[in-house]
Parts: sequence; structure tokens; C-alpha cells
Amino acid sequence: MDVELTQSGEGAVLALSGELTIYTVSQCRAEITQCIAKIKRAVRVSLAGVTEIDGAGIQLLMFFKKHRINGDEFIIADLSADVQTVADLLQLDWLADAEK
Amino acid sequence: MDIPLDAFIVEARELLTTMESGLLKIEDGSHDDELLNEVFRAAHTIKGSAGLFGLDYIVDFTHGVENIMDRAREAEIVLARELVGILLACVDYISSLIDSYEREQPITSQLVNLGCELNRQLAPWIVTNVTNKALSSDAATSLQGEEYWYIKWTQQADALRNGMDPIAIIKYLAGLGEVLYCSINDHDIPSEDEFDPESLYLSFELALASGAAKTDIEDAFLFIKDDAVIKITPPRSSSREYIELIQKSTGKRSRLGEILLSVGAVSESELASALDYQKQVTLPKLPLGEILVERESVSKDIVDVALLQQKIVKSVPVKLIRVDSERLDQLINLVGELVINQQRVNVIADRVHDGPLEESVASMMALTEQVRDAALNLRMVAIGETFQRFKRVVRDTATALNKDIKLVLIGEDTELDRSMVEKLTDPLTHIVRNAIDHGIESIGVRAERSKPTQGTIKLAASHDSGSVVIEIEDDGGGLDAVSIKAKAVEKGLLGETDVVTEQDLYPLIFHPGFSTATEVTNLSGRGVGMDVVKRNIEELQGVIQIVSRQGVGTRITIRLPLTMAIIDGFHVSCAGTDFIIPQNTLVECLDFDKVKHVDGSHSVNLRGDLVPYVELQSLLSLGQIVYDHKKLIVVQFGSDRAGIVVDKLFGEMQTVVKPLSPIFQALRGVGGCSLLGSGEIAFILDVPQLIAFAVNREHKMLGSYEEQYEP
Repeated sequence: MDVELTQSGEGAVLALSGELTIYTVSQCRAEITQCIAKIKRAVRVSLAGVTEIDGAGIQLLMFFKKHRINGDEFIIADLSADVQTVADLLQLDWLADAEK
Repeated sequence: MDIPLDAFIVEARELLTTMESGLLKIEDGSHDDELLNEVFRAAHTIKGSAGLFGLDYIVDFTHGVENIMDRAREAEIVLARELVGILLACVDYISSLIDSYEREQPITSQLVNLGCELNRQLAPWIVTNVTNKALSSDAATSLQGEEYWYIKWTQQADALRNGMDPIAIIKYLAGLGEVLYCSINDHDIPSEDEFDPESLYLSFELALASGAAKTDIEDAFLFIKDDAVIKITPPRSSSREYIELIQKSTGKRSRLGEILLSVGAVSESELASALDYQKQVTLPKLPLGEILVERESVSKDIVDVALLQQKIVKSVPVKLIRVDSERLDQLINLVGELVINQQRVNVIADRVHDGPLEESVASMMALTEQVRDAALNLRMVAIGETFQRFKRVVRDTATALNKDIKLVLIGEDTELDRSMVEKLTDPLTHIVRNAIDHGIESIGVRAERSKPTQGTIKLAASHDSGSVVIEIEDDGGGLDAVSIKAKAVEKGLLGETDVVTEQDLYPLIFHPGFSTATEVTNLSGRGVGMDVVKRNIEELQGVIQIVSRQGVGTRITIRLPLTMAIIDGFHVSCAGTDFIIPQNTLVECLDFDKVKHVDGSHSVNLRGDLVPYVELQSLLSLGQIVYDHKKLIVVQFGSDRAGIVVDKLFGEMQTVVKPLSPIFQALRGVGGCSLLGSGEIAFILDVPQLIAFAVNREHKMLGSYEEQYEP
């Protein structure tokens, strides 16, 4: 599980890669919290590199969507095939319709 | 008229009575769910059966009533007084529709108009579109008309750590059919500090279109069922299937759980856990059906049907059959003849002095008595059904007169002969109406007299020394002794100077044409009432008494014999003539010459009590006394006692009561006759009349009267 933050003129991008599951959610949560604490603006969260996601992973994303002061500031995008499948299955519109 | 339609009409009338009494109980503030169900089911059955006979008009009309009762039992609407009033009118209306069909008359335009008017009044409470409440409303609108399993669950917080991934469950379910709707509730995700990403805070709900069985769906939760809250609601179509299956099941399953399990409406694990829960919770004890519905294991509709089925199964041993009352009467007649013949056989056997013959005659005698009791029992019905009708009478009459009256019923399970019950309805109705109209004062007057504004009418029935006692008591103004006296003088029943006690005045209201009501209402006061009431009661061999106290109330007491067909009698004779004294009036037999006589009166001193007596010989102008040892038979009726002097005692015997021919009806002291085993005729003494005669004669002599009224 890797969390990589890149900041450029276009904005901040948080790229998650590897598996986002019960085994990694704690570590992932800590890293994401740390990263977004540094940036005071909207962050685009790229899930292109996520190879596997489970209930814990979905819940983590929901947690950030819910508790980032403004949900829009935590913009989920670039779903990997696995994430897309789960998003469709769960009919999570906010996730399934994420930006490509 | 064809027989099935006839049966429908009888059934529908019974159901309408059920609806009426149910509605009245609801109006009285009873909040029993079963009551609502009962009224609903009655309406439902009427509608269904009417449909079978193509009585479309009844079907259409009853549909509205059924709809309202359905909503009421789903607690969507409350049956307020106004609505109950309309529903009662609807019950009457359905009843008049049935009357029309019974008389094979077309539905008149007047009836149709009335139906339209009632429908108009019902309209605000009727809904035509019922949505499935299980799903959140937005989902429900998008899924309307779909047939789906509705599944909702919450797992333990540890579930993720234990590898019980909810997504795996959803994937499994998706494999069983099509997920129409899925929603993850993130409501419980806590804020920043408290959030533990490895704990599960989510709960799930989804709608699944699938032909799978309930057990297949449950398999998805196989590993978590012990520590998750899972609710699985079957599609509506399968609810209907369950209902049909339950209705078809004819087995001997009498337990709710077994019935539901057998058709698959609940699974074994659901049932087991509900039963466990039921055992844990002792106070208040919850019905299993309620627990299952509460846990959404099964819908209320299915439980209701299963409960109904359970009742049907349970009630099999006491199944009722309808018998033409004429056939019953025929049986009673035959039993009467049997009893008379039995007496004859007894007499002959006595003469023959043959041991084995006497023995078998004795055992046949015992059997005959049993047959007699069983036959008479067939005609006994509880008076409750008759009493129930008065709820409506009181309600409607009180409303019409703008009075507030409560009807209290006591002893509804008191049984009496069916033929008597029928003949009692009219006189009772009259007395109750009188009580409402003249007895109970208007609300204003009651308030002035500092009585509770709600008046009370009490109808009570009980068994007392072989007779049935019916009391009608009101807490109204009581009878007006002054007007009664004035009226009596006017009618020439009393001289102006006569001195009469109040209690002696009251029975005068039973004279024909006696009404003191200054205002004639359409309910009573036309002076055709109480004399007819008295005559009706006397036709039943009954006695009617009235006590009243001004400003406190009136109590009318009716005493009736239990049955009039065959009685236990005590055979005596006087001056060679045979008499039967009804056994249940008998207190004791004494040697007439050995009791203390009260000088100058026809009374004896019986252990300190003054007991008046009559001598049959002189009263009925019989011949010479045959034996010189006169016997005094003490009899009792109600609270009065008297002695009857005879000269020979024979003992108990079953007595078949034969009415006297009309010529002898005026005869005082004799109520009927009977055939003895010897072929002789015996007269059945009318004990109440004899007692009244003896008591009155003594009263006149002593010139005293004891107050009888105890408020």
C-alpha cells in the first residue's frame, strides 16, 4: 500500500496504490490524514493503482468523504477496474461516477 | 332460494353481528388489535363470499369498509367515534342489501343512493394505492410494482477484522438474482478521533429480485448469523404464496411456529432465536408472532393468516353444526314421550317384583335421565348474544335523545332455553328503551342532581334456585309515584282516598294503557309497552317485579324457569288428586300437625320465621282428605317462601310438562299438567302464584309491608 502526494500548479493529487483492504486501512488512514493535513485545498484522490478493495476500504473512503470538512475537497477519481466493479455492485454513485 | 345462498345469508348476518359488536367495543375504547382484525376479517369474508355468488353490489360496497379496517389494523388511521358511526351505518347498510337479496328483490334506487352517500362519507379514509413501506420512500417509488426480497443487516464491529467482509455477502446475494437497489448507511461512522478503520460502522440494505428460496438467501449470512442483525422480507408474491400455503395446510399443526416453518415463511434459525428470546423475556410475555414481526422475519399479514389457521385447527374439536330448530323440538318431544313411557315401565316393573327386571329398569331410568338432560342442553344458549344487541340499542337510542349512557353487561354466559331467549328480546328491548327514555335523565338534569353525567344501565343475568334471573337496572330518576297514583285514580284503578305504599304503586305501570310520560316520543310513552312486556314474561311462566326509588333508579327483575319442556318434579297428592311441585322450588317437607301455628292466621312459625301457607284442598275445592296426616311442603321462589298443605307424598319424578288447554289457562295455581306412569293426570303447581297468593293474604291480614328495595 502506497500513498503518494504530488503537488503542482493544477492541484494536489493523492495517488493510492496496492490493496486497500482490512490489512492496510489503518496504515492508509494514517498516511492520508497526514498528507491532507499539509494541504489546505481540494485534493484529488486517484485510485488507478488500487488492485483490491474490500468493505474496510470502502468504509475508509466513506469516512473521508463524510468528515473532510467539505466532501468536495476529497475528490475521488481514476478508478481501477477492481474498484469500479465494487462501486457498481454496491451502487455507490459517488464512487462509480468518479472522474476518469 | 337455493341453499348455498341461504347459507351465505346466515353467515353474513353472523359476520355483521361480529362487526357490529367489534365496532361498538372499539368505540368504547378497547384497543385490542385482535378486535380490529376480527372486524376486518368479517368484512373480508363477507366481500369474498358475496363475490362467489356474484353479488357485486355487496362486493363493491364492502370493499371500502374492508379497506378502512385494513388501514386501522395497520395503525395508519384511528377509528374515532365519527368513523365508527359511519362504519356502523355501513354495517346496517350491508345488512339491508342482504335483506334485499334474501327477499329476491332488486336493489332499490333509494338503497343505491344511500350507498353512494355512505361511500362519500368513507372516502376521506380510503386509500387506493398501497406502497411497500419496507423500503425508503425514494427507492420504493422507483421500484414500485417490482417483486423483490428486501434484505437489511448490520454486522458486528469486529466483522472486518474477522474476515466477514460485507462486500462478499453482497456479491453472493448478487449471484442469486438481480440487485435492484443497494444502500450503505454511513450514519454511524464516527468522527476523526473515534474512527477505527478496522471496525465496521456500516449497515446495509438491498432489494433483490430473485426466485431463490428463503433458505438460499439466508445462506449468504451463514457465517455471521449469530452475531448480526439480519432482516429478510420476502417479495409480496411470495407473501401471497405463503398465505395460500398456510390456508391450504390442513395438518394437525397447532403451533404458530410450526405452521410458519412448514411453509417456509420463517427459517428454523429465525424461529429458534425468536423462541429463545421469548423464553428470556418473561414480563410482559410476548406472543411469538409479535416477536417474529418485530424482527421482520415475517410480515404481519402472514402471521395473521397463520394465527387464523391456528384457530381453525384448534377449533376443530368443537366444530359447530347448524340444526333446524324444528328438528330439535321434535327430539325434545320424543324424549318427553320416552320419559312418560319410562314412568309406565317403572310402575309395571314395581308390580311384577322381578329382581333382574327392576335392575334393568333402574339403569334404563338413569340413561333416560341423561338423554333428557343432553337433549335439553341442546337448546340452551348463552344470553350474551341477546345482551350484545342492546349495546347498539343503547348507543343509538341514547344518541337520538342526546344522552350519555353506558351499558354494563353481567353474566353473559348464563344459559337458558333458546325459545325463551327469542321471546325475551322484545320485552327486554322495551324495558331498556324505557330506561333510556324515561329512566335516565338528560345530561343537564343529572348534573343538577349532582349525579355523574353518564348514566348507567345494567343488564344482568344469573341462575338462582332453578330459575334464570334477569335484572335491568338504571341509575335514573326512578318512577314518579305521584303521577302513577294520579294516573291510577284517573283510570279507576285506585280510589282517590286509597292509601298505598310506593312499592305497591309501581306494579300498576304494567296495566294496559298506563303511561305517565307527559310527552310521547317515538321511542316509548305510547302506553302500549309495559302491559305487553308483562304478558310476554308471563307467557314464559316468568314473573316480573319492579322496585324503584325516586332520584336513585329503577330495577326490574324478571324470573324465568330454566326450561319449560321437562322438569324434575316432586309428586304429591291432596284429596286423591295428583300434583307435581317443581323440584327446584322445594325447600323441605314437614308434618303439618307438628309445626307451630300462628294463631288467627294461615301461617306457621318455622324456626322463628313466619311462613304463610295455602291448603290445596280448600283453595282448589277438592274432595275429602284421604289421610289424616297432613304434610306441609315449604317452597321458595326468589326470596319469598310459603307452605303448601297436601296429604300424601310420593317422591321425585321426571315430569314432562304438557300445557293446559286454553280453557284452563285462567286457572290460578296450576301451571300445566303431566301424565303419570300409571296413566293418571297430575297437575303441575304454579309455585310462584301460590306463594304470591299466600304472602298477599298474610300481608292483608297483618296490614304491613316490608320495604323491598335495597339500593
